[in-house]
Amino acid sequence: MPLAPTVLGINLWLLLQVVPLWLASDVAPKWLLGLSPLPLGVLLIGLRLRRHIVGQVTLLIGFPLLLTLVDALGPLGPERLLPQPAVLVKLVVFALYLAAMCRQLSMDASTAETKVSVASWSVKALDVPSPSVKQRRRRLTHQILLAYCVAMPTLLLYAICLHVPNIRQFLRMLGTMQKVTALQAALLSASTMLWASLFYFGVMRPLKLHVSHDAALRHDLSKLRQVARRGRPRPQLYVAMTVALVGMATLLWLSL
Amino acid sequence: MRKLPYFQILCALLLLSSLVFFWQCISHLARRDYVAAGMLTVIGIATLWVGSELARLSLSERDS
Repeated sequence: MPLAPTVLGINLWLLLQVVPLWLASDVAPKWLLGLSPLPLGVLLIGLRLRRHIVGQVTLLIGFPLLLTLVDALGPLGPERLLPQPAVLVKLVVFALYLAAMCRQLSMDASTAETKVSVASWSVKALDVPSPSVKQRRRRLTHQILLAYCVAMPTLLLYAICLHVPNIRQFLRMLGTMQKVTALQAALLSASTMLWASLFYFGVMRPLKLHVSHDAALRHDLSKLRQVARRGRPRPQLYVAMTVALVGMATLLWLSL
Repeated sequence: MRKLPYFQILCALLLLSSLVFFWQCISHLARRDYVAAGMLTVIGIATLWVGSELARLSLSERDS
């Protein structure tokens, strides 16, 4: 027998029937006192037959209706015997009883279904192949990309709004805190727009093209792959080396 | 005997040195030396470019 619905049902019976009848035992009719164990019996029978529709109807409708028998006959005893907190307690216990009973009935139904459908099955775990190096590399790339997409705006937000030396510098430059707040708002909106545009054109659009197997992108990628497989350096390498060397020489010349 | 991956080592060195250039660029910006900062940015980008080209060469060397 399930514990929670049984205990809550017995509590409800005590609260709604036994206690009021006991308090008003002088005025209550004898037949009502004789009928007082009836809801408890109905509850126990309903719990025994809860897998059948009759038992479920008894538990959800019959038992609560029988408990209202005392109230249906009119007020018993003085009103002070029924204070407001007692009504609240009765309502709470009734709601808990209904919730526990519904949960128990649904659990019974699901276990019955499981028993019927899965009883003859033999469950065996599938051997999941470990992901290939390419897949692992791709997953790592996506994770790094995601982390970067979170880290960069967070860094900008920290630099604009939370970094104390920066805010102090803004305040020194602009004079009042209101102007600093306005500047922070403008900088934040500009950086958000910039980052959103970069995110779309640099991350989302290439990924979307890749997922949708864009013909132009596939052609470019195959061409790039062919070029990459050649072991000869491209002219860009020499251009970049020249730029770097000339830049360093100019910097040295300027610093001397 | 295993061959030393020269291209890979050189590529890593170049990528790291480009970061040093960018760091120097920030420090020059803090000193309001904008010409030097701009030149260091160009040098950093060029170094990154060379590093990426060498990475491509190291990959083709590894595949062959």
